[in-house]
Amino acid sequence: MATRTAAVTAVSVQRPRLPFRISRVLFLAVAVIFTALALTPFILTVSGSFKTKSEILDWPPTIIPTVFQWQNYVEVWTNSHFFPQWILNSIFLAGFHLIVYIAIASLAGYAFARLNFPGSSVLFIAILGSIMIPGQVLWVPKFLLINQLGLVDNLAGVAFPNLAEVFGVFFMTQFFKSLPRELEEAASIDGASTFRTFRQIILPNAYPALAALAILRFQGSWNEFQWPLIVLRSPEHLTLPLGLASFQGLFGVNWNWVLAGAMFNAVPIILLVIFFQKYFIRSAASSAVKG
Amino acid sequence: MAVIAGGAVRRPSRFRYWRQWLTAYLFLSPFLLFMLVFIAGAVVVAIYFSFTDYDLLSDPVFVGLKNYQKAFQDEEFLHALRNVATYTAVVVPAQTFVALVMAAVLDQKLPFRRFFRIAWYLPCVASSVVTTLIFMWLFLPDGFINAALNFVGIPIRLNWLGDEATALPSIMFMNIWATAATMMLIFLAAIQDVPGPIYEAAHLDGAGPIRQFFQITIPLLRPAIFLVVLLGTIGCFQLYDQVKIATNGGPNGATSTVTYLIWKQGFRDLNMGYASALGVILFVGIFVISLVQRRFLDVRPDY
Repeated sequence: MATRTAAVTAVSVQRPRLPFRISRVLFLAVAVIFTALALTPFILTVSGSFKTKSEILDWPPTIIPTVFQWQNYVEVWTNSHFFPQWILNSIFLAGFHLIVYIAIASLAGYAFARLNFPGSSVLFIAILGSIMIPGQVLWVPKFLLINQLGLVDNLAGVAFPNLAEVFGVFFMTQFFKSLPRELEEAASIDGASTFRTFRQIILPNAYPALAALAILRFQGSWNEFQWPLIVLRSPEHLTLPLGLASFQGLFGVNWNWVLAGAMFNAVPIILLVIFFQKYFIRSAASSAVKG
Repeated sequence: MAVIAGGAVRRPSRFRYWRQWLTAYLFLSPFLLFMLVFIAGAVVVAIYFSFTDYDLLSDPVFVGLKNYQKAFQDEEFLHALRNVATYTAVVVPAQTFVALVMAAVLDQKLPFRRFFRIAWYLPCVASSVVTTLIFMWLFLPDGFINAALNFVGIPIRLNWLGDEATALPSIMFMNIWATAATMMLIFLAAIQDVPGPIYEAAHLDGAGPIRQFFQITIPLLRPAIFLVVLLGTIGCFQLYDQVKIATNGGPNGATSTVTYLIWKQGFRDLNMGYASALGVILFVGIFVISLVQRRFLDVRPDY
């Protein structure tokens, strides 16, 4: 944007600030209200996860537990036999998706950004267009295929179809386009093959983009609900989100356990976001295009 | 391009062209394989099965348009369509508005704004299962929502998710809470792209900050608003997780949605053909709505 560069160079130009203290106080008040609305459910969840079975049913509900029942976290781990297994399954899926998908997406992104081949632009547009297809249309055909392959109720049945994800390819294409061409030119003078150039020159320069994509993929996989729900059946094969959803049916009114269990799903991802805030906010804004 | 880089003046031979094509397709092949099978192929298969009756046990029977005719006479599906329409009509404007206010507030360079941004964004990072479980608990008759209402002097004890009248509005609230901040990020990125001199000019002309916001920022945010409304609408059309987890479409169909019916028809009742047809209808619906919105919301900002 040409006008924007002008704005940067001009000294006196400033974005509007409210002149009155009173309106700044007003904005601050709105910000505090939003913060309260966003955080209160989480704070109440933490508090609820420490309540005893009877206190969690009290009316009116207490905000701070009278007795801190640390036991809930132990019980949720031991009373539902598969809880540790669910966590392992989720870690396995998220890890698989993260590593394999990043490899696939960066290879494809590099081809679109830097290699010449017939059909390149048509293919790219077709891939972008497929973002419009709602995932639920694909449930039946994907399930029938998984069924044919004997992968129903198998983590592999969740893992492989999830590799057909458009966003990462688009994301990596945009990133590779932004890298200077001199990088490859030097390598190709030395006679390196395209793949060697990609692996030894390009990828080391792509760490920020790869990290952003990795965080986003981890979150998507760790939180995923819809497709695993269709594929996975038996209790020992569930992922953590599916297990938690079944939990609530299993334990009925034992909300203290449900909430303690939910913490195991929410806390890792919340910590990840807080630590990698910068990567997250930036890539999340562009990933929103995916919906 | 790499060809030129490789052999500066020499004309690249036919062989080298082929080699480069081959390399490119080798790079693409893992992704293309999954894409062709699980997206392109799957869409074709879905369309095929939407013209059949298929229950997994016996062979599919071709029935022409029967599934589509059935859908538009199916009271359950029509009810779900009405639910989705109501849901979209409330959630899209509400979350767009909340997101815009959030972005405008964060743009004011308030103290602690990095904290505000991350705090507001947390509802978007927790999984749908966790946020739904939390709200199922908060919405209980003995839950905090009722307690908070009692505290401010509204003496009610509703079973929010269990009552036909309040179940869908409860899910609306839950989803606005969980998605507004994602949309906020889009607005924030767009607000920061608005050229500064425009404000300078407006300021010289005597326009105050509030007027500047409504007469400059909002019109210039049109592309972002289009994007947010479109993404919001697509998301609303696909409402599934909260319904599946919290209400199973109930009570009495009050929270049933198109995607929930796809699951129910396909994976509970094994009507794979009918479920495919509902999926195709959803796809067409989303496609049409995005074309319509593109027409009504001009995407170019007018500088």
